[in-house]
Amino acid sequence: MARSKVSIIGGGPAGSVAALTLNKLGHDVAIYERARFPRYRLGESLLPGTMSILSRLGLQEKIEAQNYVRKPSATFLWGQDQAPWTFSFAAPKVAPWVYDHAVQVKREEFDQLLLEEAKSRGVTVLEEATVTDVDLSRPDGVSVTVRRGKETTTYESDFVIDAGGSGGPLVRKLGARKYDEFYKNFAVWSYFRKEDPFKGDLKGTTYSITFEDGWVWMIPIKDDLYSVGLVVDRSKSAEVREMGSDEFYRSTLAKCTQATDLLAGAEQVDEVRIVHDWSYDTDVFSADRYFLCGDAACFTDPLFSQGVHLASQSAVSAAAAIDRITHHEEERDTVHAWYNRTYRAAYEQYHEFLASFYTFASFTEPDSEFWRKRRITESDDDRLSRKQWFDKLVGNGQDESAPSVADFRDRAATMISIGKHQRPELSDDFCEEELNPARVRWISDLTKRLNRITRLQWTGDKVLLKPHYRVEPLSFRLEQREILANQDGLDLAQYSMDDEVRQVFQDLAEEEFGYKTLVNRLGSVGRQELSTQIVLRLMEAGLLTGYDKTGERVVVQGRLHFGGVGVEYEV
Amino acid sequence: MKDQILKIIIDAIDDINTMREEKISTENVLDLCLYGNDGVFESMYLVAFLSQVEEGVEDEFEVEVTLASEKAVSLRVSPFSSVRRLVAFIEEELRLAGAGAA
Repeated sequence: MARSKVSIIGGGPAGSVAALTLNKLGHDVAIYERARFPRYRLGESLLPGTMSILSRLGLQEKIEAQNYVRKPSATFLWGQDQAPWTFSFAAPKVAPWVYDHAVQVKREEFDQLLLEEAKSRGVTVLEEATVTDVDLSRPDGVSVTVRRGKETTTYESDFVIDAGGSGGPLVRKLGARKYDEFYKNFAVWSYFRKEDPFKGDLKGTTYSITFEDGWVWMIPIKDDLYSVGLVVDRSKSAEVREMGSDEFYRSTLAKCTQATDLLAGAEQVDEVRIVHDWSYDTDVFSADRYFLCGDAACFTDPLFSQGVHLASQSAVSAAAAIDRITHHEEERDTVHAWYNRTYRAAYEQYHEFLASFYTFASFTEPDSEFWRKRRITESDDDRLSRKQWFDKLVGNGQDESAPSVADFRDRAATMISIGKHQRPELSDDFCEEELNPARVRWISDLTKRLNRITRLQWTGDKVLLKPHYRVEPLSFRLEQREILANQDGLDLAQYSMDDEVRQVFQDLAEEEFGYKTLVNRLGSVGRQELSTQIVLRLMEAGLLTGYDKTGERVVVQGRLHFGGVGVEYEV
Repeated sequence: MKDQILKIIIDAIDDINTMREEKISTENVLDLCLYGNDGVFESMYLVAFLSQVEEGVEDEFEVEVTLASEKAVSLRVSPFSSVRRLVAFIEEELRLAGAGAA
C-alpha cells in the first residue's frame, strides 16, 4: 500500500483532524506546533458536523468524558424588537453519523485532547516548533524548516498542510490572501461567572444579540462560565485606543441591554481580550504538494460558530485528497480542483447566510456605521464582486420573475420565521416543540409551490454524468463518483448520481413534465427521500426552472443552508 | 380503508429504507413520529414522503388529496406527529371526498 509522508504546520483542530485522518488512512504524519499545549484560543462553540467527524475518527467517548456543555441550538435576538429565533440542531438520525447537537468547549482543553489523541496514535508531534520556511520548489517533495529553541532542522516530506491559523507560514509565503471588504470587524471579549439562566430547551444554546454598534455573542462553557464578546466595526478602534479596551468593553456591552439582562449579577472573571476579525480567503486553497486548511485558508465572521467546522471539514478533505493522490498520481489536478471547489463552496455558503442575516438586521437596528456597511441593497455592490453566489443572484435578476437582490432580506426573514419563539422575550417556557407549527406551515407553502409546477425545464439539451469525488463518511477515502451536469458546465455536486437518474432527467429535458411526475420517476429509481431536495438544489444550480400551467415561472425559495448542520454533511 | 392507507404509508417507508443508512423501524408503526421532536424525517424529506403517500392514495382510491394542506397545518395536533394521526387525516380527507366506499 502506498504511503505518503506529510508535514502539518499547526496542532489546532485543523492540524490534529488532518493528522488523525491521514493516520487512519495509513500515512506517516508529523505536526509542527509553535506553542506548547494547552494554550488559550477563542472559538468555543462547535457545530454538529464537527461532532460527526470526530465521532467517526473514534473520539466520541473521549469527548463525552469531558462533560462539555451540550449545545442544542443557536439562539438569535436578531434585529431590534424582534422575537428570539432559535436555529435548532434537532435532526432525525438518517445515518449513524448524523448529530443533533454540538458542544461548547474550552478550546485549550479541546485542542489538547485532539493533539494528544494524534500523538497516542503514532503521529509525531513537535511542540514549541516554529516553521520558518516551506520550500515547494522541488517536484518530488517539500521541505519544511523548523526552529526549536536554538536548533533549526529541515524535514522532508511528500506533502505539506498549512493548518497554522491566520498566521500560517505557507499562506504568508504564497501571498495569496484576499481580505473581504464586507466584514472588517474586531472582537472584544471576556468571561463572566454565571450559571446558565435556563434549564429547559435553551440550556446550552449560544446567543447572538444585535445592538446598534454590532452584535454580542454569549456562549455558556464549563464551570458556569460565559464567553461574552462584542463584534464591532473596525472604525471603533479609535475609541478603543482612546478609552482602553476595558472601558470600551464595559461601555459598549452596556448598550446591548438584552445581553446585560441575561448577565444580570454575573461577575467578570477574566481580562478583556481583543482581536482583529477580518474575513478573508485565499486565491488557491491547494496545488501541487500543498494544502491550506482552516484559518490558514480562510476565515469568516463568527456569527454561525463555523470556524472549527470549516477547519475540521477542510482537514478531512485535504487528508482524503492526499491519500487519493498518493494512490492515483494521475488524478492530481482533478483532486486539487475538487478540493478547491468544495472548500470554496463551503466558505461561500456561510457568506451568503451571513450577508442575508446582516442585511435583515440592518433594517431593524438604529442607523449606524456597522449596520450600514453590512447591508446589501444594490445588485452592483462591488464588495461582493468575487462571490459566486452573489453573481448567481444578480445574474438571475435579469429575469423579472427570478430571485433578485431585492429578495435578499426575505431569505433571512423566512428562516427566522421558522424558528421564531412564541414569546417576545427569552423564557424558560420555550420548547423546541413550539417551533413545529411554523415549520409545518413552511413545508405546506413549499409543497403548494412545488405542486404548482406543471412544467420543468432543464437548462440545455443534454443531461450528462460528470466525474467528481466524495469523501466516504466511514472510510474517509476519497472515492470517484458521478454527478449531474449539462453541456455548458453547470452541475449539481452534492449528490452522487447514476445512469438511471440521468435518464430520468434526460426524459425531463425532452418531455418537460411537472414536479409530481419528476418526484414519481425519481422514486422509481431509488431516490424517493431525496427527490424534493434534488429538485431544489438543481434549481439553485441553475439547471432546472419550473413553470405553472399559465406559463408563469414558479420561484421556489429553498433554505439557506450551510455545512455542519442538518442531515447532509459534506464530509 | 384504514388498513389500505396504512399499507400505502408502510410501502412508502419501505421504499425509503432501501436507500437509508439508518432504517426507519416499522414496528409499532402507528406510533411512529414522522416530523418534529423524535420525528424520522427532516423537512425536505417529509415533503418528498408526503408526495409519495399522496400518489399512493391517488392510485388506490382514485382521489387526489393534499396532505401538507392549510387544513393539515391548522390542526391542533399535526397529522405528521404520528402515523396514526396521518392515517386518520387521510381517512377524513377521503371521506369528505366521497371515497368512503372504496
